[in-house]
Amino acid sequence: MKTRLLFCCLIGMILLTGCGTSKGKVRSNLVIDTAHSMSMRIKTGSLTSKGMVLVVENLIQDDNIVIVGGVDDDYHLEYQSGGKWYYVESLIEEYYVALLGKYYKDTIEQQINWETRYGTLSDGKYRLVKAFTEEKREDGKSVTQKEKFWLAVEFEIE
Amino acid sequence: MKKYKYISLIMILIILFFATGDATIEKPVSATDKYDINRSDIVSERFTENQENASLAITNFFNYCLLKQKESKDEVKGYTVDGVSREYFPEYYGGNYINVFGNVVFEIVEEYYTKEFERSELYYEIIDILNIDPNNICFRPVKASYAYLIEKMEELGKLFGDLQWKDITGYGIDDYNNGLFIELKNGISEERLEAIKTIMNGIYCDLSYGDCEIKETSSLSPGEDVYSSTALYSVAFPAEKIVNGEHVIGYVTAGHCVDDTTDQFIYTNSNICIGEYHTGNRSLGGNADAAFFELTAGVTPFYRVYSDTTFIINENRVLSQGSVVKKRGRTTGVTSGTVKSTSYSASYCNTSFTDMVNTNMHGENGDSGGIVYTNPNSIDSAYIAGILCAGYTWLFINRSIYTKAGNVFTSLDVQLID
Repeated sequence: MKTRLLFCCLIGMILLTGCGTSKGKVRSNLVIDTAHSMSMRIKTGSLTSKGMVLVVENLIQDDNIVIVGGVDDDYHLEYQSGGKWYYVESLIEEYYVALLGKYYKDTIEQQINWETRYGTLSDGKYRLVKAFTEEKREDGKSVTQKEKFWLAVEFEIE
Repeated sequence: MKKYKYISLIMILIILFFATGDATIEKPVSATDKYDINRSDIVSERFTENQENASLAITNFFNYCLLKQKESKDEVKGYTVDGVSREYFPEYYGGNYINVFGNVVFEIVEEYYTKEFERSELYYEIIDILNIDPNNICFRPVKASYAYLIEKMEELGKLFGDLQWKDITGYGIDDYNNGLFIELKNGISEERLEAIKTIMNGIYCDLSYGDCEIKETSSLSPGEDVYSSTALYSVAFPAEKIVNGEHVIGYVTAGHCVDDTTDQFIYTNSNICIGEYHTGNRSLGGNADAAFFELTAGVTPFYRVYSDTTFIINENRVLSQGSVVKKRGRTTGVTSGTVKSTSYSASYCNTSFTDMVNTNMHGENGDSGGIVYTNPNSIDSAYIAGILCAGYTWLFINRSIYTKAGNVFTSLDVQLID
């Protein structure tokens, strides 16, 4: 009986350790919105192991819907392992970004350079994830509804 | 045997609870709050119930005013609302409306809205007149009294009467904006528009005609949402700057929120132009990420945190490590945390900053420029601490940094308004 209890405690400790904030292997459970009218892609020929030119495209035609996102630096990288996505560990303990809300209208190109933050990526499958908020307005005025969503662009470093 | 089974089961439940809650990122706080006016006609049962209570309370209030009027035995004259002429509305009363929860928002003229209003005699007097549960009402400070708005209605009535209603479709009291709205016919002359503006004398006025809409005066509160042509952000606190010997009243926000290459207009969420940023009025780097913009004439700087009850005392405080701080920004609203470092260096926007304050408050895109304040010993009033600038989030670890108010003053050569 004692063995069972010890076994349970051990399992519990392992699971709890996995839930911690350690920057080790942390699985991402973000749900990427693949059906949104906003999309992201990599500018052809721009991808290297140190960065890319990201193209963010907003195809929403409704004037009462505004897409707000972060500054160019506001993103994170994830890598794929065993069919699952994990956060790429940052070299910088706390990477600050300005908390500015930026309009995402039409098509925007962003120069992404992750060398300082993540170093040079080794071979593998990755995705770059950015958060946006869709704000619905009443007659173009007050915000009546906000919904956060995530977009990702997948790429391979070979 | 059974005992161990239960222990195991409880442990598994605890583990599952933590495991599922860990990396889930919650949806942002809803934009609606207790000061937002209800605009929907599809409402919940709870809303309906609240609105019934609210209408009974407001009926009680109008009956109270009417009784005072009757007791005076004065002749009723001029424009009346529910039979009450302007002389019999209390001086503190600024109007009322129903918020998104169905509760009544009762507007109090600024002069009567004291720092600890909800402990004041007036507060209890109003609760007594309305005969309402204090949980079902909220109070909001406004500039103009209801009596003054009625006075303006009377003056406009005279003007439009003289003009035989040629240029006007209608006009009315706008409680929510503490002003009037006037619907004009196309083709009204500039001269008559000027006459209307003269009557309004700085009171909020929404003039609309055809496809054109002119917004007049408004107010700006610490932590309020604003936008320019390229960005959405928040404002911190009112300040003044001496330019060519004259005191210019304005507001401060984060320096990275403004574009220093060109002058730009700044608007509130309601599309009202409330200020203009002039190039050269920002500090981006060193010990400050701050900018000063001038308020448009007629825009009143308020000292109550936007969509909140906290009154900002016009003084700044230097905070120690471990101090409790709060911030208000457009995306995450009011959040709180503690000071982790009182002199912190960081780099963002390709710029290095020093002597900032590092906290564990949560912030997101759009919160930049918002007010950081502290009110450890008070329920309803707070001191200015600084301007929210940048943040960092890793799963459920939150960090944000702000520019100290003292550094804002020295870097921008501004001061708190006397």
